[in-house]
Amino acid sequence: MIRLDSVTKVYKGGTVAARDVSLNIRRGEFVFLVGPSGSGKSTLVRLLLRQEMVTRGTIWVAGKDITRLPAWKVPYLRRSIGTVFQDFKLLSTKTVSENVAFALEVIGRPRSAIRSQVEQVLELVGLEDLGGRLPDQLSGGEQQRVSIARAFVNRPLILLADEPTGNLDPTTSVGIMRILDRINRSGTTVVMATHDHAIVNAMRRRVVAIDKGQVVRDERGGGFEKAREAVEPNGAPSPQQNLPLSPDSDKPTLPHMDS
Amino acid sequence: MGRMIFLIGESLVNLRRNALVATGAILAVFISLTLAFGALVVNELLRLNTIGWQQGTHIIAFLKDPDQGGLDAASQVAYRDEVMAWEEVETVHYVDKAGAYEEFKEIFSSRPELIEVTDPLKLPASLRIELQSIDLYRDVQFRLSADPVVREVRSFGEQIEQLSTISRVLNVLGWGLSLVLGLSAIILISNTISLAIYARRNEVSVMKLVGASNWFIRVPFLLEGLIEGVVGAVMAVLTVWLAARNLNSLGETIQLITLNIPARFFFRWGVVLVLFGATVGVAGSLLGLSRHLREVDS
Repeated sequence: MIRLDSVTKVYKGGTVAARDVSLNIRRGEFVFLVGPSGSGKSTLVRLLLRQEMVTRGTIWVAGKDITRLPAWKVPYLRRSIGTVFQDFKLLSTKTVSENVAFALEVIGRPRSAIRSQVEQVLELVGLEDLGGRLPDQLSGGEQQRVSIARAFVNRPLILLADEPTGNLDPTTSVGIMRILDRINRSGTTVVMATHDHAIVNAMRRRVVAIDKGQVVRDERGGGFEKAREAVEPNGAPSPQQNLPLSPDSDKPTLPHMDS
Repeated sequence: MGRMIFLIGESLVNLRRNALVATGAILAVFISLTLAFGALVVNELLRLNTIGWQQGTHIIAFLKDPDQGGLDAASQVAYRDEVMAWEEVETVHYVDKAGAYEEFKEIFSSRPELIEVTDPLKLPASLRIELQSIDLYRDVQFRLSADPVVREVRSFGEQIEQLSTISRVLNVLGWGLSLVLGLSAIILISNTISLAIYARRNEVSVMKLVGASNWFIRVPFLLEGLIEGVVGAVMAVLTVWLAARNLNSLGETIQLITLNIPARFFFRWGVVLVLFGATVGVAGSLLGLSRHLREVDS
């Protein structure tokens, strides 16, 4: 579904955000991109969305080399990728339903189809009763659900999430992860950049650790702490390494992701 | 259809949010096009009047009577044909003594005592000459004056020339001001669009993220500029049309000049000006879009 071949991104001024990154993500996978701030996680997300151009290398998304995609075709690429961000990026003047419908209106879907699709996706994220509310009448977690609904309403092949739980408390984050997990189980490939140790450790999915623009670990069923170990090989391993979050920890558990 | 309604709705939202700046842009288009259209109307008035005066006659050559060394009536007609053959001349109308008297009576119909004492035979026959171009009047006037059969030559060339000069100055001023104000209108509209993009940067950013095509993002802003240009132009056309209508009613009290401009003129130039306003609006929008749309994230 996604393949990066020796991708390098150097920003103006010489900052190297990605250095010879090669990665292969299969259809339906759930992949965490982890690493410290400034490691290059968000740059990878931006490269996948063609918000940035690679300096060297090739990126394939759904069988297409997006590094050679002409500018006028970029919108079509983005229609196959849903995006969720830490700051939600909701339109404050539009209601929940309008925010979600906006994603379909701008790509020219007929009104009748929009209404039913919006209803379905709001039900999926548990906001079926809040369609008429404005974003500032919602909690942070609810706003992020709206953002996910907007990203998924078009049934994209890929969902990119850049720190989707970064602004949320642990309990709310669990709710968000449950939704992302459900979306992933429906066949959508999910790539999530995160700092959240608890979530990565609890989910036990594929973890790609990045540091200084390089992939330093790529592990299926991995945890965040091991990624830290890889990034800081001399650091002491964390006591929570590879352990699911317990009810006693400062983060809640993710007992049944499909519940 | 739904898509078009969505785009128009987005444009109207833009206009509402930037009402003050949009009003400024509309006024700039309005003022520039009012000046341009005003200049056109004044020019048309001058043209109509200079053509209308003396039924298009540019020169009148009064002919000597036979007893003064002039030609008899039949020779005067032949002389008319001779003058008509001059290349500077468009048409020549011969007015004999009887015709001159009829004209005299018409002109002085309010002064019957004057008509009563005037001997019809004392009034000279004349040639009413319309030239190919008013610029040629001096040459023709000179040739006629030199002819011994001609008693006197009167030309409206000087007056027409003066009016033409005024017309030219007005045209240059009108169009010059219109050009400058038209450019300001484009810049103002461009700024309106820039502000609209800034005000809606979040929406534009989301539109880009969810895969809206470039044209889909641009169309509401283009429509906004288009609306500003067209509204300004329509206001200018209506203003000048209303002013000309008032002038026309004033003209009914001034017998000497015509202030009646045909509706055809207003329709033809009205359409041209509205199209021009639309072009100015779209050009301003494109300028604003090219300057600021790329700055919006993603």
